[in-house]
Amino acid sequence: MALTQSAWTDSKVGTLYNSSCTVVGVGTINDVYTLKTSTDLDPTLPWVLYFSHAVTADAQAVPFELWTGYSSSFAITGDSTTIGATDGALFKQIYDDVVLAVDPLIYCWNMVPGLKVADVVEVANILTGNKIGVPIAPYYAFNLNGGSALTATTYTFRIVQVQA
Amino acid sequence: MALTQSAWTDTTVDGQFISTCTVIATTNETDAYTLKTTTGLNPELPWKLIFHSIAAGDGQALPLEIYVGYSASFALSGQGASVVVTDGALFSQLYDDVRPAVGAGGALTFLMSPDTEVVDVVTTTNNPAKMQIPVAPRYAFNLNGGSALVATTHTFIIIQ
Repeated sequence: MALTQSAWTDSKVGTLYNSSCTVVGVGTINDVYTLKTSTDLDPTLPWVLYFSHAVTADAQAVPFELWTGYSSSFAITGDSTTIGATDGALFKQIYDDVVLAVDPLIYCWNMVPGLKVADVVEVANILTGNKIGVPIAPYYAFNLNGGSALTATTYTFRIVQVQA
Repeated sequence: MALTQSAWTDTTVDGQFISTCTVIATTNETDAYTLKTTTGLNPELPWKLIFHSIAAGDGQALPLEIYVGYSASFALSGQGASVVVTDGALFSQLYDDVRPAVGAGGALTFLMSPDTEVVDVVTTTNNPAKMQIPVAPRYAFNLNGGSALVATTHTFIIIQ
């Protein structure tokens, strides 16, 4: 049984762009990943990523990854050692462990193209403000790279961007 | 007795956006947090935060935190380990101890910028304080006490 990945749902109120999606894990695979983000996200502007899950995802650390894509066919596929991407690639691990981000606790990251300071990508440094210098790319996707089968629960991803 | 949080009051002085709020803590709380900032603040531009208290807020180090929100429902609630955020999240600790900020003369100033080229300065031993912040529609601030707070008034002022 495969992941249940919702498409990203976009809304815009005034200058505030808001896009969210959910992925429902199945309890038998190690990786939980989103579909590609929508083209309404402006990759040249900073944005904020929010993440949480309904119940604890794993009994060990759950790393969180950012993937980038270069065509409308971009998608993450596979699981564990077979994971890969169509028309895209893993950019980097953006957090070493999101296992504690259980609703209502939400983690957030400041995603900044051209970030001029060092990334903050470790839960041990969460009080210093998570931040990532992100590549300008037409599409992004996110993956929870579990070390064992992740819990069959709902994982929620949200992107918020102030646009002109 | 719960916190008494004033709404942010916006004014313009000589072309500068000024937004002010107060939070009155009681000895029943370990956290004292503001309501969400207003839409009058332009998050794409740098701004300054000024903070001061009538009396030192705690008997131990009193960290100041910044939260970011993504909707008009953004709000903090709860206390201690059960602080809950609706439609938002903790972004960062903004300062490790704001207790010296007593009276207007002791006010602390924080330079808040969405696009800094230097690392954050967020400790009492390094000034002036500065932070790279996310571009977000709403912000809120929390005094994350390690014990019951002193019953006093905390003032937050934004200048842009």
